[in-house]
Amino acid sequence: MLAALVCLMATPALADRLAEAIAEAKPAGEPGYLQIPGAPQLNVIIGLVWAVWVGWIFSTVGAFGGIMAGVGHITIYGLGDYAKSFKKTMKLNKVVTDSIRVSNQWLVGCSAALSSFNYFKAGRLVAPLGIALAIGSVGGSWLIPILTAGKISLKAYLGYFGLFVLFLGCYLFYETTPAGQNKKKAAKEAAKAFQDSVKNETADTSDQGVKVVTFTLTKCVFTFFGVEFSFNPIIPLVGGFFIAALASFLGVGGGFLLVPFLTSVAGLPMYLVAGTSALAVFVGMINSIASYMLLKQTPVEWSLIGAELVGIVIGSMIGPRTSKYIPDIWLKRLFVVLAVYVGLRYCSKGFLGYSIVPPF
Amino acid sequence: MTGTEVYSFLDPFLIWMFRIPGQAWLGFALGITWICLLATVIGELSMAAAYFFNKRHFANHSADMVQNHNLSVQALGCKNKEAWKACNHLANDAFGKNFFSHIALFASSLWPVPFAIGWLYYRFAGVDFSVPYVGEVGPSFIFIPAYILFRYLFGKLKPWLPVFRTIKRKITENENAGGTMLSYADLMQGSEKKEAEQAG
Repeated sequence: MLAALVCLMATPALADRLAEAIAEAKPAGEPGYLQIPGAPQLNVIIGLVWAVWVGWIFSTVGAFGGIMAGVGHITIYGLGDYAKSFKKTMKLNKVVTDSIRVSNQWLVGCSAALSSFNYFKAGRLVAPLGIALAIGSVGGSWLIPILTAGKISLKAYLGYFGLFVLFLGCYLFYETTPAGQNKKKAAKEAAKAFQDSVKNETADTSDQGVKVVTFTLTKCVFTFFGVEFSFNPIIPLVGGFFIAALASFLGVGGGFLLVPFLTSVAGLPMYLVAGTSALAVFVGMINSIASYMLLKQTPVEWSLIGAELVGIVIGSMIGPRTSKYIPDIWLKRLFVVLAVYVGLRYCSKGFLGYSIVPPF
Repeated sequence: MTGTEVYSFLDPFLIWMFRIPGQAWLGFALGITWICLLATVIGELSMAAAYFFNKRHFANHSADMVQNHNLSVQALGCKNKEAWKACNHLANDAFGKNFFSHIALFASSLWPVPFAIGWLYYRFAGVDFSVPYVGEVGPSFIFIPAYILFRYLFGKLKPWLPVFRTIKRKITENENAGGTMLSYADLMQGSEKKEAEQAG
């Protein structure tokens, strides 16, 4: 019925953003990526094979999947070099850059949003926090495509993408250090000690539910079952905005930033993190993709995204079967090395114009 | 293999439904419905296959998450903030792993969608649509909302659909193998029950 309604309203439309960019650049040759004459001929089989690797990472390390999807679009398929072959003032450079960004987001974000939505359906949502995050997300994910679509050249995108990968590498590195390991070890020991003593402890539920002690613009102190907690109400709003903005700018999902944010920065219980992150990821993703594609008419190569999704599925089926042979810490160390290499390469290529790591 | 080759292969399986009514908009509506049905059914079956291939892995993640979370609820009940923090930290770690493995799992239900959208552009490239208040749009503007609506309705119908009903039941059984997740309401109900027992 919806399809019929929209069809009734449909009328022929005019030339789009890609057509204008092609008319300006006047490229020649066989139609390739996005049907652009002379663009790289993308083989969906290569897309599938690379995505098997992406899927394997998703199911073993987690956070690095979106980054590897981006590396595939930029380097493996040669789209980065192709976009750079046009002057940074040319529309085609920016159309291909935006296409890479939104392709990454389709690939990672839609699955993230759908997965999050299921947690959301479980009804575990802190309404005020979810709304604050969603407002921040909407702001970030609308503003970034509006401000940057059609303005970011491939070189600038590479530089920022590289910086982000380096940051992620540092975070993964911290998790492999004795300090990072000790935190987890201490948590495990404390949890075990509590588990052993829980039979002897008696639940004191005299102070049930949430009782707000003080509430100001910058600090909310409340007790939950008599235990005191506090949070800054501005943090979710600002955090939601920056995470959605960063995810939209880099073309990544954002879920992997949101989950540690809600637990480490906002200090929320796991029970509530799942549902709350759902709303923010879902709203942010819908916004970002819609604004890139509907408002800015950014084209994507659908067959490549489809083949990559198939690859991700295969990789994520293999992942759990191989992870028992490789210890978690070694997996993380492998990705730290990869992150430093990819980060340094993209950063230097983007900001300096040449790579400081081989191949130069 | 290029995208165009993939679309030419898919063409005979997708276009025939568009031609049945012999009237443009009705044919388009019927064709879009047919593609939504195919994308949903193939996607749901792929997701079930991916899940059952690694069902022990998913069950372990889920059990780890539920056990640590339940322990954190108990810690809160005992007013033990340190234990709560530790258990909540571990529960969040397990949730993170569960979250990412489910992202990959959901990718298996979405893979037919980009092929469907790509084929729609391949077939209807010459036909552009303009929607009041929105402007010029592509066929994905019609397909994506229709797919979401179809997927939602399909989800509602699952309990009555033979194969999918069994899949849903088996997944629920596997996910709940590690126990049920306690809510804070359970903690309150527990204390009310205890008070009632003491009073009785």
